[in-house]
Amino acid sequence: MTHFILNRLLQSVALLIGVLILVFFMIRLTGDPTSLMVSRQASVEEVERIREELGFDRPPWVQLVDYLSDVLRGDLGTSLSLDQPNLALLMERLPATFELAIGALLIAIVIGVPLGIVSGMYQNTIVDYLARFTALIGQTVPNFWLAMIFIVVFGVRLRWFPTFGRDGFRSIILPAFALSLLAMGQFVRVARSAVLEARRSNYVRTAHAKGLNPAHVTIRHITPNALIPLISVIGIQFTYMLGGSIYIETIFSWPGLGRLLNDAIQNSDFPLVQAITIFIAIFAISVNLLTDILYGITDPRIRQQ
Amino acid sequence: MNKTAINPAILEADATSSQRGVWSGLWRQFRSDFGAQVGLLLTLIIIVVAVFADVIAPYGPTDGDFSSARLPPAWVEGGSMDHLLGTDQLGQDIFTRIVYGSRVSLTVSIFGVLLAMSIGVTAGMVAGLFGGRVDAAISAVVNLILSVPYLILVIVVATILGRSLINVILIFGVTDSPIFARITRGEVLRLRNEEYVEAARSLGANNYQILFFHIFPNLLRVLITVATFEMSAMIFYESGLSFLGLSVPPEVPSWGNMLALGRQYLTIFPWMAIYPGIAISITAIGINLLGDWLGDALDPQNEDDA
Repeated sequence: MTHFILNRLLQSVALLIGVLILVFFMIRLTGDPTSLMVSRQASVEEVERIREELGFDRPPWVQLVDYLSDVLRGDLGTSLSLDQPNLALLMERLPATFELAIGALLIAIVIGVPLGIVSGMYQNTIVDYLARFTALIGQTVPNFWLAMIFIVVFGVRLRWFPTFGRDGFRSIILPAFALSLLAMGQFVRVARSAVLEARRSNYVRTAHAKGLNPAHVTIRHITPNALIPLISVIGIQFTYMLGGSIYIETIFSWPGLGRLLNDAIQNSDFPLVQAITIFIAIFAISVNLLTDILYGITDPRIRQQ
Repeated sequence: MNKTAINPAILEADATSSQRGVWSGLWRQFRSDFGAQVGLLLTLIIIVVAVFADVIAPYGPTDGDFSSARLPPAWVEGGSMDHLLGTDQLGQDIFTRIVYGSRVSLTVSIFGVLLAMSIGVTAGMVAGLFGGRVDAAISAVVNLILSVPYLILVIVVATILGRSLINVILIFGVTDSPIFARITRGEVLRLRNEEYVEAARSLGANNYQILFFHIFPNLLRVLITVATFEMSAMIFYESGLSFLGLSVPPEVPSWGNMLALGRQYLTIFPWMAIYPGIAISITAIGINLLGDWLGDALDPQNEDDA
């Protein structure tokens, strides 16, 4: 087990450095990275000054080493539009985004997983069709459009919930629900197909052949095995939510990372865009590592690979 | 494994029956699958709308008339039959812009998927066939790109490159290619060890014959399904990029651009945002259902059951 964890840890570190190098090259796609790092009104002299200041006039490999050591020491640069360290801005906004993403994840799990399990147990019944329709809607209808429909219907017409800001429990319901739909659809699909697979497996057939109570087989034999593939999907969906929050937070004026990213894009504040990208990528790699380890603990077959 | 007792005639008969199996399998599934019928119908409607946009749309895509700005849909009080779904703040007909918007969505998704497929399938085949260091290098890049949340990756590249139709297609084509590379590589590795490939090899087929006559046709079954789902995903993501102001320029009628504009007037003129969103949803649902059908019908395992 220790060997497995250590191995995955090393892979993640390699991946992390790979992602940083990827970002380094992406910034240089247009040839001159300086143009991304200055405000649009900057004069020619100012651009030259910043080019020197940021060291873009030095050999590329020196820049790369410098950039890697900066990021690994936690220096993510300074925002152009807000004139503050990017990391401080990120940390300030992070709690709001986590709150929203965890709320959305809970909604998606509580509705999506049971729906998927029931759908797999009663294949081709009305429940199954309903579940598959939910999954289809979640994965095709843009959540930023549904979010706007929610605002019009539940906020403006019915006045059940506030439509903007982060102010108490009632204010999180609409944005969290809108953010949960994509994950919910995926959970339904994964839980359903895992149940279908488990129902076809030999150990379930054996359990039925032994004459066990069908409810007992469902709860003790099918459900636990159906839950294992969900672990990694839940991890992936959580990281997707940090990205997806750019829409939901913008639409609901939720003061988190997503809205910060949208503001940065609209203000051409590229250093901040880059910092948020690096942060979310590092976060995604960490979550993947964590889910892999959990997966290894729950499923001994994975460890042997 | 017994390599001596294989009669080439049997292999050939097998190959032709499996070709026939694909078409009859598609048709058999289609007849009994309500989702497939809806999916095909919706997809065909969208394609017809995009191709004949000039004929269908009552106005030009950028024709605006301030005297008829902000009209509600025809069936709402104050609406007029001249503008079925109402008009935006510049007096542009919303129905017209939705009709033209289908072109952006379909162009981006079709060319984006074709580009992603060309890059990905090539890389995946090279990795799967050559193995060793080449495979390790390609797989490392694939894993690297897939480790970054897709939306964030697309957003940051779009921010760097700036908004234009070509850029959007390039961005989707490149960032989506790892999916195709990973699937192709996996399929090539799996198929390489299949009995019929081994049989063909023992009958004297060389690597290229095996690739084109045995591995590629089977790969195609998987790729068609994946490509369909990726098209529906690209329509979703393109509208998302447009919504953030990172896709086609603002004057181009795209569904995401219309939604972004509609958001600014959401509480007063909600129709500006409602109808483009319905267009995105219908298109994505149609293509997705099509993918479900192809996936079920082209899966060799299902064919055995039938």
